[in-house]
Amino acid sequence: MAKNRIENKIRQLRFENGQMTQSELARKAGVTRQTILSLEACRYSPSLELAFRIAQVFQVPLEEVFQYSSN
Amino acid sequence: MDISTREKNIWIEFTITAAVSTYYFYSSYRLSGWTQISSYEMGILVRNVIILSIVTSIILYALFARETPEQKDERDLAIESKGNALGYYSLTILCSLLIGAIMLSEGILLIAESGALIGETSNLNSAVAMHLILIALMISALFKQATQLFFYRRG
Repeated sequence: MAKNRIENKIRQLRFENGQMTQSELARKAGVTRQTILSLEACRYSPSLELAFRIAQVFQVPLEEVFQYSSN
Repeated sequence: MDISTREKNIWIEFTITAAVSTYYFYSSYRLSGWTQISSYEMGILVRNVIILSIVTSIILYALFARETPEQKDERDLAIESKGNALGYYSLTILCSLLIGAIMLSEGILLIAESGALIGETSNLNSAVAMHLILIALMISALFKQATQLFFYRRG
């Protein structure tokens, strides 16, 4: 499956935040669980707004959640 | 396999479109080929297609997609937009080909037994053209739905 250049630590952050489920994160971020699933698998690049909303859920800066790979 | 309700709905629409178009084109061809079809036969066929669509929809949705889909998020909108775009491109190409076929359809000369030329006709009459347009519409709908399913599966 195609992987894009934007990587993330969503799965790790979920576990660090009280074992948050994908559904919980999806609800808080205002997207479907399948979108969170695709994000964690790096098969989907979020919009800037969604990226900020996810970072806000975890209360961390954007760069701690998403990283751009130049390779 | 993790499938959202929205994706299930698209699978169902894809199945219904494929089933109904297969039924319609097979039945219309069996009636009198695609060169001509009477209003009565067309009426019966349209009625059957409507009934088939409704019954198939009820059964498939009742069996596989009872839940209300969640509100569309940005990924759903992006996939829908890609599907619409590719469906539109395929419809444009098919219609362009059809226009070309109509313009280039050869005139068939009608000659009496005496050898006198009676007139000229085309092997692409209105019934055939209508069916070709319907085929183009069905193919583009299937293409749109298949594109959406591809992107949902790919992630």
